[in-house]
Amino acid sequence: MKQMRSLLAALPDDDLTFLGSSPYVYHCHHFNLFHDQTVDDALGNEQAFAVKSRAAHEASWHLLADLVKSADAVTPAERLEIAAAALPWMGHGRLALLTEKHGGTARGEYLHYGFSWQEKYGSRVRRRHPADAFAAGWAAAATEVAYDLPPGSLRCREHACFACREAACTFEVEGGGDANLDTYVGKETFERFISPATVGQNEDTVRKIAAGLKDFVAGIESDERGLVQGFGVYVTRHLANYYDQTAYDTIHMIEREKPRVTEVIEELFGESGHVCVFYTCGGILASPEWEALVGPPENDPESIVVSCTAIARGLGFGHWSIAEMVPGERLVLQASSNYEAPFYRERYGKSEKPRCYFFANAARAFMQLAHKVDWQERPQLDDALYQSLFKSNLGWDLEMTRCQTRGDEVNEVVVTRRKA
Amino acid sequence: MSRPGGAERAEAFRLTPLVPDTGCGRSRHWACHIEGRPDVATLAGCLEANGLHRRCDHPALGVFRHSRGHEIAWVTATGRIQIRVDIEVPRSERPATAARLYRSLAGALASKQSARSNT
Repeated sequence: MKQMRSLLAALPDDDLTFLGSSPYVYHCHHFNLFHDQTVDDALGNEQAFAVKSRAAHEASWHLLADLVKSADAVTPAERLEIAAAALPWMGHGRLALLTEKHGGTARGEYLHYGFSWQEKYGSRVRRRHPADAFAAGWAAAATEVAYDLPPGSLRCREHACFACREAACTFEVEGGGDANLDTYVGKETFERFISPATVGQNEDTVRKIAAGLKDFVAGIESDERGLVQGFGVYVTRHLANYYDQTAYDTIHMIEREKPRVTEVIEELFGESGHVCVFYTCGGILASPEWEALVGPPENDPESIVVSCTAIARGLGFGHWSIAEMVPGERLVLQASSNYEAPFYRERYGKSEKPRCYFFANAARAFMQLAHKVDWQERPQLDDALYQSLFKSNLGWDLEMTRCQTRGDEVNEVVVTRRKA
Repeated sequence: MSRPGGAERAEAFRLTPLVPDTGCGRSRHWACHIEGRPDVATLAGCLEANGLHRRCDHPALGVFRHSRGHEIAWVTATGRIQIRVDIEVPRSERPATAARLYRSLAGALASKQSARSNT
């Protein structure tokens, strides 16, 4: 889609990518489902849907406003058409917006969350609550932008969902919204809160691989269903603010209302880092694309950590670098930029404790993939292997030693071999 | 792959047996190798004749897409082939779908060679 491509922007030295001024990253459906499930587990399905759709609304509104401005789209019909075309480009499926000034309906097909939930869990679990909160927030924001309505004035509910074995996803857009568009975390926010790019071990190799990955993923197009497949993995070009707001709003609610379970929820958001590294980094390393671009992965821990660090940069996670790597013993991973800390600082101020849950746990997962997976055997990256690696055999401790959410210069995590 | 002074042998482009490949999709990824390393144009011609189009133009890699969403990825340097069955195919039908794609690729390669051998 030409309009989306015209909005592509980056802070290239910081390995951050933007659509207009909105930060975006690549994440696969395994990560996306796990992240949303964590919000559901923490808050209950109804409240979780409200938190997720509100975060989607707030993240999407700014992107949609940038889009219609850059396209000089004047009429509501033009604007709704642009919104409908943008979602498939992001790998989120198709959403027909049948809305007018005061609301209306929307109908989705192949929507990322519902469709991929059915693929991953549908044969084993019957789902009874809708999965497409992101599309709901998108529909509300798109309608506001199309009709020049006050930002945050609408809300959207999903009445039928493919994940619940219904034929399509249907939505109702109506008044009574509560999204807050006053604070926005965009490219300028990132420039205020990130630090100059650090230089780590194997920097030249990491930089070279990351550059190749960025070129490759930039060329990937969605298919006619609005699905994006890269490296054999279904991915989304997703708005980073959605992940940040859902995670941090959820954790703050838990801290206020159920403080005794805060640590559990923080661990679950951290585990999303394991899920991402296992499925996305693992899937990329095992793919023909990686073999062609970089070479087949070797059973060499340092090489796997270098590769994973480069993948993180290539997917827009920020400027991650290896400060120290002792195979079998220790990894010190730094990030002079990532997508978690700027959002936190802008929305909530300085934190008293480290809060880059995804970054920290991804580092631990790097070490697990580097030491416990036989890459030459071409492992099946399935749930059984995930459980074996990350539930019963996780041999690494981690400590977030520095964190930009706390005001530190960089984010830093130290991963050490767990003593028997 | 062209050989100066003579026709290519039929077995030059033989496919190794199809086996499950690594990946995160359930029974979606299947692997084989092409023995003999055909040139890009030869393989692309075979696949396009079978209704696939090339969607990745990287010199080290061919990714070909079927009208029904399946993909065949080919690493030119190593001959690795990954057959990716589309996500909409029910899980129980994925092995058979992969086998059909494999047979059609093998058949196309064989017919290409046969045509060359006869010239």
